[in-house]
Amino acid sequence: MSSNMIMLKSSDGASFEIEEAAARKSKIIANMIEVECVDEDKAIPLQNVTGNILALVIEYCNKHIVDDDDDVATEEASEEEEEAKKKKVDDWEAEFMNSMSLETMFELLLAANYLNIKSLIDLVCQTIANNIKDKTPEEVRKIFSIENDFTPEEEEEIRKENAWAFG
Amino acid sequence: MHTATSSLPDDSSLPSDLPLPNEISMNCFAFVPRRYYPSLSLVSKSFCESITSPELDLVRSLLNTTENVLYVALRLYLEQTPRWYSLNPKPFKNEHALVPIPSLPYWGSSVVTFSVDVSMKSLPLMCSPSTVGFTRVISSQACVWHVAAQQREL
Repeated sequence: MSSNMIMLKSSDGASFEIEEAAARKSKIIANMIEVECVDEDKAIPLQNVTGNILALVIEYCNKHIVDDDDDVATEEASEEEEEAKKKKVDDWEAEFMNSMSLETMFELLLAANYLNIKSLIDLVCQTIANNIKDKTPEEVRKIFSIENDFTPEEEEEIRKENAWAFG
Repeated sequence: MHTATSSLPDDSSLPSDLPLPNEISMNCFAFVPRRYYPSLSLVSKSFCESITSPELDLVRSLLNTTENVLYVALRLYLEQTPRWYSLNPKPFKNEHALVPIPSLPYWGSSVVTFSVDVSMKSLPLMCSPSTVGFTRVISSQACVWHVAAQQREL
């Protein structure tokens, strides 16, 4: 595995050095490397990602590149070891997401989408889903500052259509 | 690439009440268990539009977040045409409800799946024997009909 380092530059001008293998988690960056758009002396400018969010993306990529390396080496690992490893990653991800405000989550999700890092998109979407899934409509509106734009009649109509769920 | 429209301008999408382009909001909704959809559809018009959109089924399928649903055909009398129901879990409760499906064809649909645990344990609780002529479930993988419960005729 190559340990080439590449530089990434956030929209607010912060530079980050990252292992190429970790940066390749982003399909956009991996493509740039493939077509040799990456000049070793120059940082890749990421105009849609601010420094604080890029730092989180890099933290995620660094963590997961280690895991991917492990996957290659552990074909003979026992099921228990595999499970223990998966649990470790799950725990890390839970901790990683737990430390984040909802606003940061949205920014991270947009960055992951822009950089095309599928596993990170899924992780953040799953976390946002967990945040809204067992909340009442009022609670969800409060969390996301959403206005109830239904008329009482429209709301009643939806309640009627789903009467089985609210009985 | 499951957010394939990321390169398209946002105005190609429905509006979203989350601070996200619609196709990413869809991804978030796809990770929510289906039982909460009726409740989420009451949040706002745009939530309702997303939740009830057929696109959401497609996204769930792409993300492998589909859930098993038990579909049953029930009839009151032998002569009656069976009617299709899905067994839906209720939001906020550990309960299920049989919900009539208006559009599923009588026999031979291949789009439904079932979970054996749900079908065997929950069904008798949901239907009193006197209302059930027969019950069948279909597995989408095997495309085989199973007689799940042959109820007594009362």
